[in-house]
Amino acid sequence: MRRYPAAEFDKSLALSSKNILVYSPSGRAITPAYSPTGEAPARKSSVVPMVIYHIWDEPWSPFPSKPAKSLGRGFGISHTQLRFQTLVAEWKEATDHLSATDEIAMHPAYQQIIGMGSDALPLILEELRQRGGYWYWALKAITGDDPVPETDRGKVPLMKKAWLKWAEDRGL
Amino acid sequence: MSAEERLKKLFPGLASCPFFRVTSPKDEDYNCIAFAAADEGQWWWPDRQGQDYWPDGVPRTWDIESFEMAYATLGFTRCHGPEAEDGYIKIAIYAKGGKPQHAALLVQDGVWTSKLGKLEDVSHSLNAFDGSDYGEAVLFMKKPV
Repeated sequence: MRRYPAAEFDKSLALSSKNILVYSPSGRAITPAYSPTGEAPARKSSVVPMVIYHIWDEPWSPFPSKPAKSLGRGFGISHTQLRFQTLVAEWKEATDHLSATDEIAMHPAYQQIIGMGSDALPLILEELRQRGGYWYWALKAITGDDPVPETDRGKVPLMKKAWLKWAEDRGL
Repeated sequence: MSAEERLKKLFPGLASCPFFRVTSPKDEDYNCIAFAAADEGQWWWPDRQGQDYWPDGVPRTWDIESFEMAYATLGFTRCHGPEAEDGYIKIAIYAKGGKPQHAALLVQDGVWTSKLGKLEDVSHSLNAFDGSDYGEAVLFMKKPV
């Protein structure tokens, strides 16, 4: 479990991300502290946050089905993972309704993920495996490779399969 | 939040649209351009990286001309307005700042259907997306049924 001193707590990241639990210095979860969408008011607390981030893949809920204690101590994510998940959430929220691939891929959050370079590669591949998503621009930009045959352009399930095979061949 | 509520928040014009219905679940395998072309198996876009499907021989440029040419490969020709015409399928291409953003298919007079990016298919009025990222309908095309 990774703890971040309050001084390093980037509230803007937390507010734009999803499913982030904020803990007090004593380890008590002040949760749900932040809603990613602003649909529910942030719960105010006088406790100066010693922050431990937990992110999981469920829609934000005022009554999370996986309370913090059930995740157990020792569960945590790296700063790179946190940054990636935050950017993914921001990108999806801003672009899921769009069809314009150029616009989807040029979104600042997506470009920041590309800018993370090889650090982002395993995270992108895992995201693609678990949840899909339009990661083909990023994968091509980061790796300089493109395993998708010309005949499969736009065939999303086949594009996904080609990239996951590419990853498997490289042990990623 | 239901899909209807989420989409009304995203496109406020849907809130007052009498024809608004969600007609499919989310699907990231195809987009609005493909849907209007009756192709639910591919993501159509003339993207710069050449990742998506775009008809052979049509320039991969993000402009109205390229989209008109793409639909022309399916037999669509430019027409004057959104009104239903017996014996024809009609589509509308939406653009913002001269750049196509969306396409819709006419179901019956006044009622259109389209796919919202990676999200759901919906039915709606022609102007339900006014003020959104989609811009407005700038080109109508038709082809014989």
